[in-house]
Amino acid sequence: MSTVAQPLPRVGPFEWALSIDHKRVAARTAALALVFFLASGFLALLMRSELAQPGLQFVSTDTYDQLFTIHGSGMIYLVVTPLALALGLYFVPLQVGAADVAAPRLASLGFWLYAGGGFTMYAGFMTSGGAGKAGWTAFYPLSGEQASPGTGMDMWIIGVALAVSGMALVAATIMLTLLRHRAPQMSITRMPPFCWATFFTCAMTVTSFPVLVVAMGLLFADRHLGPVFDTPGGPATYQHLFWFYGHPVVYVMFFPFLGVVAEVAATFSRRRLFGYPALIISLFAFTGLSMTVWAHHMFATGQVNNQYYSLTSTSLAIPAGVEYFDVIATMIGGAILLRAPMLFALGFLSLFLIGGLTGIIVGSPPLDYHVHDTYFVVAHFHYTLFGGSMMGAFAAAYYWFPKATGAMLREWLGRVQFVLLFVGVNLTFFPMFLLGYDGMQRRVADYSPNAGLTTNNALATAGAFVIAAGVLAFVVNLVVSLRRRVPAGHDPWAGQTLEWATTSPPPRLNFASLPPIRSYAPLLDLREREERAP
Amino acid sequence: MALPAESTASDFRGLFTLYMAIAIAVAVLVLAAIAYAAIRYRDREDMSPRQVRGLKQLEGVWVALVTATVVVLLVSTFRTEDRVDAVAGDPQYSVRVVAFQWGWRFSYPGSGVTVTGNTQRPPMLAVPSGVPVRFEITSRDVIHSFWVPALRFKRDAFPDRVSEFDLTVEPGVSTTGRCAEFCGLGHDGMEFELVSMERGDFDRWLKGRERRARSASGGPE
Amino acid sequence: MRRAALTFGAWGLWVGAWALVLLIWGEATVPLIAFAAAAASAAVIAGYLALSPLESDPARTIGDTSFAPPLIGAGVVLTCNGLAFGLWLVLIGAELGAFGVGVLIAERRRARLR
Repeated sequence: MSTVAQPLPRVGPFEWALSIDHKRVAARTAALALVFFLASGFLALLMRSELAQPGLQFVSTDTYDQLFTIHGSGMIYLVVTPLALALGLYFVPLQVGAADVAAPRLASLGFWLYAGGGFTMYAGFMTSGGAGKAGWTAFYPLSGEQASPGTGMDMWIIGVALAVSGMALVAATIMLTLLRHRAPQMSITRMPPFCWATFFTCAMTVTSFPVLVVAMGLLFADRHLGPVFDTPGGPATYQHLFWFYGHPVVYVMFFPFLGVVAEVAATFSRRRLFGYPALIISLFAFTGLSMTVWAHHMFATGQVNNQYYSLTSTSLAIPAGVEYFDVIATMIGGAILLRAPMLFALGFLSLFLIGGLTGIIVGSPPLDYHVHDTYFVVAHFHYTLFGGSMMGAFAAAYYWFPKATGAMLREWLGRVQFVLLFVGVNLTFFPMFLLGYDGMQRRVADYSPNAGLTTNNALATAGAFVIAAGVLAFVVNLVVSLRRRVPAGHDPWAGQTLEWATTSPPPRLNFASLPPIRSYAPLLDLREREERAP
Repeated sequence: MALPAESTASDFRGLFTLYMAIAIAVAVLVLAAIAYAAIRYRDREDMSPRQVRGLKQLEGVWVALVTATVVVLLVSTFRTEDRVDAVAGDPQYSVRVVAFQWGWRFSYPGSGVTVTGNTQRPPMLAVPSGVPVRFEITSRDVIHSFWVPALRFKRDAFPDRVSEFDLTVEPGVSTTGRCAEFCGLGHDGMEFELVSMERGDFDRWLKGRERRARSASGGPE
Repeated sequence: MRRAALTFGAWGLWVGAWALVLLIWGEATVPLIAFAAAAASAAVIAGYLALSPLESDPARTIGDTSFAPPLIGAGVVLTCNGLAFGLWLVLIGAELGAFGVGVLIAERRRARLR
């Protein structure tokens, strides 16, 4: 394996901003997502500092309401969704052997809309009434003109519409690339698992994201033009429109990372992925089901058919079970290298498990009648989003950073980060299951000192700072690894898929030449053929 | 928190135990499988990756097991939900709940008694014990949610409709209820006190309030 | 290409099946419309993919940089913010966006002529 140092070509900031190379657009998106991650994470630290003890110590209730709104909105609209799609934008063209993405300018436009939307949302903090403060869901009538007057709320609505539109454009270009620009030998059944996962991600995105943009438009119109939701059935209709997007988006934020974990598991077990056809079918079933479950967020309204949505939601366990089986079965019989990407993949598997199982619990209406809108749900979705998606994101970072930059991330810092995050996630979010069960509702700036909630809140706050330390370790790793570079070469992990068949970083049009493609793991095929006939 | 024996909460307890048992069993099984795979198949000297036999059949068994579990969970859920969501044909007692920013107003149809409170002075919600009580809830402004943690039950209060449900409360209950749907600045203080009384005591309490409301002009609200 | 069309067609059938379920057992119209629309669009895309001629990746001229996305993006962002701040910002954003579209057209024409 060649280890010729490949320093990043010097690129001026102008060219960085204007480049429509899909790799640069993806890198811009991921970098901005990291910035929003740090900002939104900081808001969470403020929230947890406030909640450590009963009583209002640091912020007013009004400020706290802005904090949790922008924390949640930032993480979902501006961090995890763009990160998931940025991974696809960077690596799908490489994995399918394409020279670039199908519509490079469209993808770049998507980035700029996302960036503008993000800044618009955060800029709400500078208005006299503060940033949006109706939660990341902005239920009506709380988000209406009467209950939430002020420009900050308008800017939240506009920011969300822009960011979500931008991401829909990015997803559309990825999808078009997958369908029309694969290398000639790569039939659709030879696509790597990550590409399949991203394909279904984009299907959900282009189907559901426009619905949210419409909902935001209608909400804005209701605030400024005339009654839209201010009518019998209006508030429930808003929730239907919102959750039709709001549920698929959590799988948009999950699938690409599941795809990465599947590939990391295969690569670091030095084996072909187990059960490729079963995995694809289960991803398909999962995706289809994901479009049918949205009103499980509305069980407590008493206005939807609870049994239907409980049926579809609980059925999700079946494809999820297949996916877990296939990844674990890939490891069994392998020769596993426990390097940083694999550690984060294992973290993803074990932590998402808790999130997923508690998801089955809240998918039962009689149980949800108690835990809905409590810290139990907060714990559930943080296990899936942080323990799942973010751990998967860090696995992707350690796995693909060498390809994108030509430099390795420090392995020991990766292990430190992994331990801090694994401990931190459990310490922060497990006590929240107990808090919710014991009666603490969501979105509260304060709680009663006699309700037995103080200890678990203190634990959760301690955990939040452990998480912060882990994130700090990652940032330090990024800076150190880029400053004092350890060259990665074109294939540091003995990869199986096409992105490892080119330089690190890849040239402008990705490939000088392509190896033969006979399966979804062409480089593994090549290596096995070479071993058999040296 | 100790659960009342014969009430809306007992349905929750049985179902939650079932779900938790299955969730813990699955978690232990899957985590053990992950640990087994990561440890047993850790890269060592002269180890070569290979296909372990029997895994494809095991996958079939696993899918069948998960599907069967899903069916069991759904059947239990549907049965429990039928009980929890059941509304009696002709309830003897009913309470009207109006949620508002930021407090609660409880009124007893047919008696003219109203109890109102806010975040400073949470109101008391008195109900007769041991019988289904019909609740009709609505909101005056934004969406709120009527939640009694001890009863393991909540229902949203929407401004554009009246939602109905029945609750059966054990005697001797005195517990806090809160608003569970984020509704603005007073959301975390919007509480009420649910108190259950034997039917005779409740009837006397209601008559007493009725008399006081009629004699004092304007009435304490 | 055939397989891609089949994938989309299968997706449309899957979503359409759930739409049918909602039609028979559902209570609200909005979800039904959303589902039916999703199924219909998937069917349309499947049809397009099935009928469009098979072609390998044609030689295309891909530029390295473009001014159009940031200009159009900024235009849309400012126009939308103008809905909150006033007509003046809408007009500024629209002008910027129009300029961006002009740049886009010019770039594409230049690429075609090369």
